[in-house]
Amino acid sequence: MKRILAVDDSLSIREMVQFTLKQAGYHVDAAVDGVDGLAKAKTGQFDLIISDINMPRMDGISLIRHLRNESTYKFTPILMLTTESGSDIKMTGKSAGATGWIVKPFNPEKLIATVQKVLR
Amino acid sequence: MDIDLKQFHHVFIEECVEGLEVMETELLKLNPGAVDSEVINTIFRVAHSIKGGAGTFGFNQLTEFTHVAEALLDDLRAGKLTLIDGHIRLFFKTVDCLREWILRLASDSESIPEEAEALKLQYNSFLQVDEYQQQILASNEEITPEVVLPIINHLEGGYWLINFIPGKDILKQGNEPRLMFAELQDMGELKVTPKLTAIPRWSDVLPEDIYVSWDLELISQVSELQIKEAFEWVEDDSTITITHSSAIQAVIPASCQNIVPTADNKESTLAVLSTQVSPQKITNNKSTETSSIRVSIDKVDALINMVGELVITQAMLGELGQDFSADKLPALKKGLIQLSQHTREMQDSVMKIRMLPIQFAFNRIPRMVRDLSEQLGKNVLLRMHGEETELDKIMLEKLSDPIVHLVRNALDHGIETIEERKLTGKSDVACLDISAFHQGGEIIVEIRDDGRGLNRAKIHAKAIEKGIAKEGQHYNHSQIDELIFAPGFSTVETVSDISGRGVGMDVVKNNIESLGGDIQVESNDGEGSCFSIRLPLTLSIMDGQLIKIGNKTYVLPIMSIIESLQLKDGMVTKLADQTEVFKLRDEFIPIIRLYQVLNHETSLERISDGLLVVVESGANKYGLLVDDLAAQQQVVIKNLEDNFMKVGCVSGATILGNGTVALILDITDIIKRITSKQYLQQSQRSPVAA
Repeated sequence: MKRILAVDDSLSIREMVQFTLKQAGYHVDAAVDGVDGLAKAKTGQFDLIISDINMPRMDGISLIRHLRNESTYKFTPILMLTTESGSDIKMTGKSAGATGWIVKPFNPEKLIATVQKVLR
Repeated sequence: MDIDLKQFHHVFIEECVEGLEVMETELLKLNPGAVDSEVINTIFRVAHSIKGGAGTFGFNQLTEFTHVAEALLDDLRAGKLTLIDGHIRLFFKTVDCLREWILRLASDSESIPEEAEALKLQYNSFLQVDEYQQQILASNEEITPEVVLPIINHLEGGYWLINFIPGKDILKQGNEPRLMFAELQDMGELKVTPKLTAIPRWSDVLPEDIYVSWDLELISQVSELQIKEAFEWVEDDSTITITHSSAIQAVIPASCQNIVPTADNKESTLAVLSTQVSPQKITNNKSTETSSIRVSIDKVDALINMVGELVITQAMLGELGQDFSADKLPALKKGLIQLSQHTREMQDSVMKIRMLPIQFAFNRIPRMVRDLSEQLGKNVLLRMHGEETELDKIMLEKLSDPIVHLVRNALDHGIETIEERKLTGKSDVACLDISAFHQGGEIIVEIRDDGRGLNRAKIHAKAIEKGIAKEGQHYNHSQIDELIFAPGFSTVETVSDISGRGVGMDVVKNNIESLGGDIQVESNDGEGSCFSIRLPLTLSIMDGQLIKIGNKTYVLPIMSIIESLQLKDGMVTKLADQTEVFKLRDEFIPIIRLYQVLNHETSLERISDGLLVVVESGANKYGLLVDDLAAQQQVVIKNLEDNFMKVGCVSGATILGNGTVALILDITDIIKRITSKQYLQQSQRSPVAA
């Protein structure tokens, strides 16, 4: 079973992402911010990380940078969950090493489709 | 009655191989601008007969495959379709595919080349267009966007070509091309062709970077937008060109083309279907090519004639011998002369059977040049001359590889890119001339390009680095050029798939020398190079001039002799380095005392006592001092290496009429030894006993 780590400071989003992806047959863990996400990521090997951008303590971009420095996450897909569809944030994310993005708001189908794009 | 058709398979296979050669040759003549209907007809006939044969012998899938090719050719032939570059490329790929197929059939394999299915789809996409075109023609309507648009809509999504050059960093973002391809595959039929041309030197490769690019062919009813989505996250970093099949262009008149949204890029449409040259396929082909020999009926007729003549002469001599008396001597002599004449003519005829036009070594070249120049982005005009020149079959077989190697080298190293040529003020079309011709009983094959020429500074430096040349020693231009033939020499920095595959010029040189030939290079900086290969006509028989040195008899090849003469005292001048020369008309010619070279006793006291045989080696002439000239005769060459060992100055041996063995002198080798300083030093140290 593929393991996904969802990092978001919003509980509702966390719940929604976890529920949707579990339904789709993935094993999903959640973290509340970048610091938490990084710590959880280090304890287990995830096949995909989905992270919000704006979070307290450590934002999503910094999280991606940290993860890309970990040898185990060098090539792992990391998707940004973003409310902004502006190309600036996407470019910043990409240069930090993000694989792609999911623009909020999103529906469950779209989320699953996007996840399937990188987890085959 | 149960007939086993298997017994005919090999004939069918041979026929196909020949047919494909024809097809390829004809394809090279095809040009979308000016279509020669006879060329199309010829190609059609080949496809048709392969199809027919395949059907007869039960190769049903081969029948199906050739059927679509034939259908397209038929449409082109009937003028229902206009020939475009895409068609030609497809036909070339078809030739490759069929060749592979035939090879598999020849080895009794049932398997079908992987690319056959994809090619079939391409044919169908062209033929589908054809159907709609027919509808248009049948409708007799004026061709307007209104008529054409439904066709485009129908074909929309039909056949897509995607060129994907990924950004170097996409792997570091966790974007795997594999995943994108998987996504495309979900949309329809996908063919993925990786292109490796951008791979840098091994030492420069960063494992996390990506250097491969891909050509993708997608057959699917999707929109361009859907295809783009697969590349959504990488499209900013990568170059992605999505094009529709230019098949559409073929149906739509120019006036309406601007309404075709995706067919505006002529170059990249079917260009990505380009055929990559595969060296393996080329070599594969040889095994079937050489298993038998076809002799023209004229040659066989001549031979039979000769045998008839011989029988008559033999009868005449037999009659003479039955009741011989001294007064019949003149008649006997006459008979013997006739016999020797006929023997000689018969020998000629037999030798001719082994002679094949050099075309057989040349016929792979046009295709290779076409493919390579496309791959390398160079513009090359290939001209071949003297393809009908005949050469011994064994030699032809061994000559193929060296020629291919030299042509590849010329394309890869010699000829510049279009940009480079423009910068140096040359025409952007480079010329590659390959010629074969007779010269003084030898065959010369020249491979000449008008490229950048040999880079002597680089060659010199490299040779020193490799320990082939000594530092500080002076080398003149031709000596430097010679260095490229030294074992272990290579200036190639990056090993490309075109040249530098570990086979060096030394191998080429060895191959040619093993045929009794010789290779030389001439090069002018910025103006190009010319490699010329000299070969004897045949391996086993030559015209020889017997010469006497002391009490020994040697043979000189007549073809290298220009004239023989006797010098008078005082005609010889000694140069500062002890070389003796004499003036022949306006030239000073160095004298080589053969008895010295061969370490023999001589009865000569002065040069004027002997004879000078003037020979030519390369562009230079030399006078060989011999004691005397004896008869001229045809000699059968026996290889010394096979029977004994390689001997310097000697190219072989022969058996004379009286049963003694005479050595055949290798003039090139003698001159090489003489002109090398090493020899001079040696000979000065140990003067010859004479």
